[in-house]
Amino acid sequence: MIQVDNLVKRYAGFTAIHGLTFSVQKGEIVGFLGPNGAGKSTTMRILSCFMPATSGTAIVAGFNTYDQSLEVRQRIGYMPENVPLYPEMRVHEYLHFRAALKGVPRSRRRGQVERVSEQCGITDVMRKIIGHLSKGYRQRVGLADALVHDPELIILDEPTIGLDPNQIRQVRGLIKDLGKSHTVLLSTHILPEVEMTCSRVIIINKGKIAASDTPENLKRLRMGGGETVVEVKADAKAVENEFRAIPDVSQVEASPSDGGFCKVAIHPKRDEDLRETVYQIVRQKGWGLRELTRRRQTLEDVFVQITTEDD
Amino acid sequence: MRNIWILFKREMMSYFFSPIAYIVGVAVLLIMGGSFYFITYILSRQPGDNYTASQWFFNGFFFWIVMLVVPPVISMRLFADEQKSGTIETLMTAPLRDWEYVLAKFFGACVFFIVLWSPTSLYVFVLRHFSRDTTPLDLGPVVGGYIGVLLVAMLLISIGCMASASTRNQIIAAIIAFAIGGSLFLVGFGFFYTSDKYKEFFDYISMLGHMLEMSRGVLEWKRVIFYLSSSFFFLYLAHCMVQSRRWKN
Repeated sequence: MIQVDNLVKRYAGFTAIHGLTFSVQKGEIVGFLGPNGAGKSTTMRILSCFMPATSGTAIVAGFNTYDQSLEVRQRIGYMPENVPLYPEMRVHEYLHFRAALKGVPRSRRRGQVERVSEQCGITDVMRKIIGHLSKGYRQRVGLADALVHDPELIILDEPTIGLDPNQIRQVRGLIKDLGKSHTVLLSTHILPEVEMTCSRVIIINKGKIAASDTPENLKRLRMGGGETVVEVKADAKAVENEFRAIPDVSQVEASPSDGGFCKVAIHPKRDEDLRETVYQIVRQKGWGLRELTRRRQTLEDVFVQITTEDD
Repeated sequence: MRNIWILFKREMMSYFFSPIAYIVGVAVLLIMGGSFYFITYILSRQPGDNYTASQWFFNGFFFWIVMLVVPPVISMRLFADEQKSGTIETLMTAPLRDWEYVLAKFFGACVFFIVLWSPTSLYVFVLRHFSRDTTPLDLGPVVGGYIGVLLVAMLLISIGCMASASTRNQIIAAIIAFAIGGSLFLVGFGFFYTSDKYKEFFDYISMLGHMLEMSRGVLEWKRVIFYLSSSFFFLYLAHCMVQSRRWKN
């Protein structure tokens, strides 16, 4: 659906993206992740034909974004960052206008507008003036606009920014639903969101792709499996030596805790779950035990690690 | 074509939802109404000299103030506002050609200008109804004058479109448009102060000269072609500015 090859965008004086190459298959929900100024919006603007790349090619739905931009634009629904709207229009007027502009035939316009307004939860504000809406509603009007012509590819630049937790959950559900019949490319800062909605994550940093994989693989590859944390009543030194002897362990850190306990973090070499092995050892030794957990890595850890690596 | 119509409708809607439309509308009618009142008052005291009533009306000081100021004001927001509010991004990522965007804006402003002016056509009926003179008012010069108004307005609005497309600040757009339109108008005065060789050139560009002729009922093709082609030129520049976003570097 998207085929980006060695994309470069240079603005006067600085390079926003240097040589991005990635592809998105039909039916995927891909999350675009990166710190501010990493080039997420720039890439999305190029894909949606708002501006051309300095060099490199971007093929969307089989058409080149540079010289076949009209064909591309017929097939995408794009929601820009900050969701620009016409404040003087009513919501239903705006959606009808956008549907007409995007070539939805007159006979289907009303139906399409109704469908997306239900999907986005804005049926009760259809007659309101956009300028009077809250940020959350505006965001969803923008989302409805992106969907109104039932595009093959949906590009959303920070779709959940400015929404409250309930609305975020709704939008997340909506995106997941959309993913069943559409291809979705979204950018976000909110990491749990990517973990929950996206089938693949592309992390970009300083205009380059830092990582691209499923959220699970990313977590595994970048951090190894989750560490096991155990708190036992014994001498720190002895405990450390004991756990070092486990075959799949790469690193053990023990530190004394209160009440004669010590806290030990055990890192496995690969993705193994060490809890049972650890428990067997503790039982054999007869140490007192008050915690045994496997810490799960969040995508946030991966994100921070990847995007701060070079500094 | 379909896209032009869709955008044009939205453009008209936003004109009539903005307070500026009503402020400008009231100002135009006040000024032109005042101008009409004084012209009829003066002409009813003493008969006109070399100029006819419609020449007075379509060439007075107030007329040119309105003609030079109103087009920049109604065209200043056309493109600048879309850029400033970011709606250009949703527009330009919809399947819409750049020239459709430019033409829709241009027609929107022209039609709005016509709407502003249309109440003045009632003056003709006022004159016919209240005139003691038995000879009816000659409609030729009046129609010629209105065609002249439309042609001059098209040129000035196309200049306004170009100015608005060049910046995201409406005030700057209005100032640029007024400066270009005003300069063009002033250069046209050369027509009255030059002779033979240059006269022909100034005759071709003098808005004041053209309006004097047209409000006499004389409409020449070369005038029409001058206004249409120069409007086209400025719209082409506006189109280039809109399109420059799509240029690589």
